[in-house]
Amino acid sequence: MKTRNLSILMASLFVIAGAIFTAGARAEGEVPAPPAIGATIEDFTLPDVDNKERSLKSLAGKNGTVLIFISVQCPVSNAYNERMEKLAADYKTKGVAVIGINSNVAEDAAAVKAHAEQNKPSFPILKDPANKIADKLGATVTPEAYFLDAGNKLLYHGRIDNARNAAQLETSDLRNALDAALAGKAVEKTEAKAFGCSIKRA
Amino acid sequence: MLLSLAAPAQKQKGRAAKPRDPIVVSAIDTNELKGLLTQQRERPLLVNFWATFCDPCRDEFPDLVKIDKDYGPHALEFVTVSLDDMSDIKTEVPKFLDSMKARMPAYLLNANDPEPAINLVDPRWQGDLPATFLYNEKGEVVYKRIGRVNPVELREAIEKVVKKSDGQ
Repeated sequence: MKTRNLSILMASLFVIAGAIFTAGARAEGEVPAPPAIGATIEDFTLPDVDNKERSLKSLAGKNGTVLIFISVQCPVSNAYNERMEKLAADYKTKGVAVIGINSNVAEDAAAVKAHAEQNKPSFPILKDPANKIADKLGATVTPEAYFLDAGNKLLYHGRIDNARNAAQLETSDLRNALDAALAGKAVEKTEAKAFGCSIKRA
Repeated sequence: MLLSLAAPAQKQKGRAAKPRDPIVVSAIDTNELKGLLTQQRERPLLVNFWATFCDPCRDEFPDLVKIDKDYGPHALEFVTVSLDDMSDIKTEVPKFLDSMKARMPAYLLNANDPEPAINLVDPRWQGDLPATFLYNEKGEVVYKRIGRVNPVELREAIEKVVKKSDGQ
């Protein structure tokens, strides 16, 4: 009887230990699902390149906000640097703000700052330690864009446009979504699969 | 044209000590990719989507090369499809494949818009890399892995489908 009780106790301890070790762990390759189109994105705060805490609320545009997950080293993300800058400039006057977010665990704050100083984006770049915001938004690659309306409702998620190579540009999915929303129309294509380098997660 | 896709310009003449020619990467458009995935086959097909800019893709390549060495080409048809830019088809892509001593037929997706190709392979696939799909001889997906492969799991999946092929 004592042996049986001890066995039960040991088995229970193993189960509990297993639960502790696996709780919060993510299987390799598993990324949380992105929010559905129409979902409201909660405010969040991340440090900028000067390590100053910035909130989504403080950076949002009066007519909406575009969040773009970017990378220091990814050639696909960097191929979009000029296009992102032009996007930010074009839509700033229309009340839409652009925010860059670096969630790559392999790219530290110093690297993100150096990259920003080199490229001089006109929009803020935030560092997402432990990829918390990437997880909340289910972001998987860089670049990957999310367009939120003035109330932080998600209207578009995915790629900026169809081609890494700007010379092959055919469809500017993100701009199309922005233009539709700013014109008071429904966004026709709310999702277009983003392609690029996987976000390196903690 | 589509039937020749499994054997692009460079034919394999065996795996002995013959000096290796540099690998030739062939462009494949979305329609041709569809043909490759749906054509009649006598052996299972393993397809790995990757890119030189994808670190986990590069990291898993030695395991894939070993699998190709152990199973291909008689028991398993194994091809790689790069999602690099077309400008890299004669430079970075073959350079990496040669550094890995990879001999499986290599393609590079030639599509201005990759989304139709991604949806064609698997509508639930977001296009993130690496992505590996194993098809049985009927063209059914019997194994799928988004992210770096677990070589033990992949070998187990291959063993099941290869055995079934041998048994027929």
